[in-house]
Amino acid sequence: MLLVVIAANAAAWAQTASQAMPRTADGKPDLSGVWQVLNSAAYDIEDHAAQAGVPAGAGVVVGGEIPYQPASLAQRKRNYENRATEDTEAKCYLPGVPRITYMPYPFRIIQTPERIDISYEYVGALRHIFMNTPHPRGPIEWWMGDSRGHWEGDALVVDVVHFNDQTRFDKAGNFHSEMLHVVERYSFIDATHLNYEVAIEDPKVFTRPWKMQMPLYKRIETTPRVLEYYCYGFSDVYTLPAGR
Amino acid sequence: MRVTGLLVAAGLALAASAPLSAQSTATLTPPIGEWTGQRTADGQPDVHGSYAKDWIGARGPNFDLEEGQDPEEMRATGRNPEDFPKPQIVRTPDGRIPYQAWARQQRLENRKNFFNPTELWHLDSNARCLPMGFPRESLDQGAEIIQAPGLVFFEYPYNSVVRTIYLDGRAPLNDRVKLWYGDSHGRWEGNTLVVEGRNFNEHGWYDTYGNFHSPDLRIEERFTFAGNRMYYDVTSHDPRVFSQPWTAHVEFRKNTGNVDEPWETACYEGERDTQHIFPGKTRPK
Repeated sequence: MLLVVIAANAAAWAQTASQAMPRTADGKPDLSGVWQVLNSAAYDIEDHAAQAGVPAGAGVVVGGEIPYQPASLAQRKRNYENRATEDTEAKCYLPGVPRITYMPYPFRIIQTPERIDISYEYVGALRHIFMNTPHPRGPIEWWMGDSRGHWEGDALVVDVVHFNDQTRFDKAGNFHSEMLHVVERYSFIDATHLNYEVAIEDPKVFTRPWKMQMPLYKRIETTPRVLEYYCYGFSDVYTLPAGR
Repeated sequence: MRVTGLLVAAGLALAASAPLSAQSTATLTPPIGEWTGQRTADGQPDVHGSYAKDWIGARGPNFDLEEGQDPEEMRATGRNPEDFPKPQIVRTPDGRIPYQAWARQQRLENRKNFFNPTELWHLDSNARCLPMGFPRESLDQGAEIIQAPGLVFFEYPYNSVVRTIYLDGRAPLNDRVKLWYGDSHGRWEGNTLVVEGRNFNEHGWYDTYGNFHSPDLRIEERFTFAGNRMYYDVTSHDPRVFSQPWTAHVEFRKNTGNVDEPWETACYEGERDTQHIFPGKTRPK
């Protein structure tokens, strides 16, 4: 039922998208600008109750639940218990894809025909999406994976592989292995909203592929900025001597 | 800087093999001229592309910005500093930064602490995988320039940093917003991008060895594009630290061949040096 509603919403969104969608000189949808999510997926991508420091939230997992293998469920429980010290966000490490998209920080999309770059406020991460080129041959384990994009009609489709097994999907311990394969789809709902769909595959952790879906909101201030959050850059830094 | 020492060593090794004819001499930025090349859709001179220094030994801020290269370190590695090029980066008559008296002492103290660190903050921020800040990042290395309407982006692949220069005349940030990389506002004058930068924090140095500024720093930068070269002049204004404004100069050439894909840079995630230098002072990873 939920799937049907989402599909119907997506169809309705698609109808209004074509009128308002900005386009580049080469006719592609123009994703340039500053975007951000408005949801609670950074805490937990599944539906969750409130607890200290965590607002209640509706999840972004299509169908509601992540199809973990039994052994992986036990790992998620351990991850939850050690989240205050072992989660990549607690360590201020690069958080992986798609997690960096739905953390509560703005990001700027910089679009050229050959490459689409995303500059994220969180730890100053810079991601390059190389268009119409193959992944380099692995095995490679990168924090943010290797992103290769192409256009399917008016949707930007980004295939991401070559992850490590250190990043998680959220603060609640949801996780993946180095076998993670992510396919993101960015498509306009209207001029200031994108539909962001993410297909997840990881045969070491899940019983089947699954999806996330959420809107991305354009920051419509006239002069939006992506500033800085180098969360590891606050302690024991050089300062001028006292009185200077 | 993943491992600053290694890079210094690499720079020295390359310098050692460089022919004498490759030695740099002080050069000048050509005067601002007309831009006669292509323009972007919004009318900017189209300067997009990848820019690099002529040779790795010209990586100024990995040495001492005031000297170009560090004579002590060269003697320690058995080389005569007189035999090697010293690109003059600081464009004052004696090549030195016009510090106020207290600041000269502080700069010497920073350098001394750098060689014998007892506190984490004695280290160069970038040696700990913290950001470099500006103007060091732009003095240190080449960049890829990408242009969009009203915006110029400098992407620095070495530290995977994006600098956004606003050409749209937007209001500057309030002074209390301090950033490693500041807030940059620019305009085109012929073939020259003139940028004013402010809102810097005090945590980033000019180089590895403790040339520093206060959070009152304001910089004016000129990126002049002529003949496949980018001439960079940055003037630092900081009345708390310097007795007068001073200018640093470095040059870059445009890469006209194929440029490698910029792949992931993850420095902090793999940083293990500080916990070895200061056991117990840093969190094990």
